[in-house]
Amino acid sequence: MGFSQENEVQQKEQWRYDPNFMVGIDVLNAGISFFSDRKVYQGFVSTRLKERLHAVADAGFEKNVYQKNGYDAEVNGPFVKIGGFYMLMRDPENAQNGFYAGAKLAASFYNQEYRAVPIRGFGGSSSFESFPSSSQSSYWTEAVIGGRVQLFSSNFYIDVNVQPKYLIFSTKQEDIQPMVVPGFGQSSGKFNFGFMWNLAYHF
Amino acid sequence: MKIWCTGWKKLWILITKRMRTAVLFFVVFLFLFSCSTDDDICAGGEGTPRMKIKFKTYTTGKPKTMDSLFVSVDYGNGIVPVIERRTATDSVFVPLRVDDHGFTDLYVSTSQQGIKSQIRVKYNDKTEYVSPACGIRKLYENVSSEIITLGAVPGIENAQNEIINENKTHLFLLF
Repeated sequence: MGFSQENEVQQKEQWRYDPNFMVGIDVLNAGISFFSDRKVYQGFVSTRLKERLHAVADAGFEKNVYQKNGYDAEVNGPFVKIGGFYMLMRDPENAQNGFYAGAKLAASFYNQEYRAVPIRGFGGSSSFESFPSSSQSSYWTEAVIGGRVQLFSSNFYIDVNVQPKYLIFSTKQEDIQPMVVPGFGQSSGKFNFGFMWNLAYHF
Repeated sequence: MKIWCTGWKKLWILITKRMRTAVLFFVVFLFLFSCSTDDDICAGGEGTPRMKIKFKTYTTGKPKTMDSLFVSVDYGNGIVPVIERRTATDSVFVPLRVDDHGFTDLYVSTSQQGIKSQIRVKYNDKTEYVSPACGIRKLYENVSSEIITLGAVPGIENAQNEIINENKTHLFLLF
């Protein structure tokens, strides 16, 4: 995407990195947390490194349950994500405004408790096995695609993005595939999908 | 003063024709992901193996095909009918209990209202994790069966002392 648009060449020469940060809090997921078993509190810090390149780090905490198909599991723990994104299209008047795409690496360190893992039987004779609470970690990669726009002419921005995720590795308790991972979501499959709706402040 | 919606509008205008294709591609991508990977159906015979039962003639010990066969099992909530065959049958698969009961009682007869033989299948069970959809399955070791109540079945023959798959015959019923 970095094909030279004539008017930007000039800007490029002038551009040099000055400390600049944007801090945002995911207000949508925090709001949903009040009404849901899934409680996600997350935020991000990003900085514009180059003309169109931004570095970004996310941090958050999630408490979640998985009660389905005979499972009864609970997890809670923090997660972090580090990555960058590239402004694909931006507002010529405001370098922070635009649509972007990028990638992140993420890790979650959490406590899990599987109160029930199903043993499927015949004629209503299903049973389950319980496992004690244990500490586990999971690692995944995610793409990020989103947009950022200034609220009025203030320093406040709204940053909305979606994150297709791919689970790379999980530590396991007794070989049990984790059904839910903080920051990742339900993890019986390798793919998942997340979103953020941030209120951010630029300074 | 800028209304924040106009900011989005302006950004949208920035989208060139080429980018529209990318956005379209992304929407398709979204749909692919929205197909949940949460496969909650345990299929492919990965679950707890069932007990394979075949039949022999009591006097000669030769394989026998039953004209009809009825098997009920007590899974802990009363006796439930599991197999009701009214046609020629040379083998049946009976699921055993998956709780830690130590044995499963089978009730076998050759007709619906006929006299039932109570057969107790004793075993030590162990658990094995299979997959998210199947959860944990049971495998049975030290399997041995005995007749508790004589009825339609005058004798039995233990064939396998473990049930780890459904390939081999685990028990012969003698008629």
